[in-house]
Amino acid sequence: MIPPADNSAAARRDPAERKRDREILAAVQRGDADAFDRFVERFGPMIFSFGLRMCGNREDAEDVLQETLIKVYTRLRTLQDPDALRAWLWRIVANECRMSRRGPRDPGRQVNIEELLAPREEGGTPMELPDPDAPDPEASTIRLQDRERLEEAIRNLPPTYRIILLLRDFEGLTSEEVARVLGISVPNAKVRLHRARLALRKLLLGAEPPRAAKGAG
Amino acid sequence: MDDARHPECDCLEWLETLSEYLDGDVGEDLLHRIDAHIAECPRCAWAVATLRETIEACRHAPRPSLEPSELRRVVERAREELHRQGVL
Repeated sequence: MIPPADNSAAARRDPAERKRDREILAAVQRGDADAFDRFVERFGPMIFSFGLRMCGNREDAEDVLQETLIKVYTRLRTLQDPDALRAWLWRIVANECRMSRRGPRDPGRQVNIEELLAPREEGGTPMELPDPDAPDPEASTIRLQDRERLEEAIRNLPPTYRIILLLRDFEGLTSEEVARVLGISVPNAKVRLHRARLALRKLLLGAEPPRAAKGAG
Repeated sequence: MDDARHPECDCLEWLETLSEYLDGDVGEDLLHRIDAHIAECPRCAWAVATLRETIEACRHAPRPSLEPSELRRVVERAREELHRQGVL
């Protein structure tokens, strides 16, 4: 019924995808008989995967999907601006994720930004710098095929970082849309996104020491 | 350690802008300055490369999927509620 893993974030920025969203919205607002199925087909996988990555368990993700479908579909006919659909939808999804608290899904701590921005010179500004002993640029790359590691790293991010990465880099929202969903300014969204990316990068790199270091022993 | 880092440039400034740089969200002048810096600074080049790979990994990650039977169950529950509310 619903196709598996469909489009990349890059594809979702495609104008054709936006056109498809507008067509589905129009079908819902006309009351077409197949509008609900089309809506589910289009957004169901996105909502479920977002919920799973955000909440960390399938039960919560199913609840998020169900409640989002009900809330969004109930209000969809009143949505005036088709281009606001995605930000509006994701705001509802994000709220459902926040409200759905069935099981342990958060690392339970906020990572101190200084942990991410090491090394820090005394009296200086904390900042992300590559490890001076590591960078064999060829060796320290992140293996894109290691999906499980990526999913685990996402789960281990603080929720404030996880949600902005999911919206921006997994779902392909623009910075402006992300800011609208989270109710923060665009500059704030960009700063938070950068920190979230650095945090994820640190987790991914930390899981795989550079080859030069491995071979040293 | 600072001396060993980047004696003639302010890497801290570059590193703060890397996400916007990779998103194509910096002005042309800054873009060229960062490009020129990266060409000469292996550490910043490495930082850019690994950050780019991190972003790409997210963008191309396949979605975790729901079994069709599970999906039908969730969707049917939502459909029933929408019927109950008179929306469908």
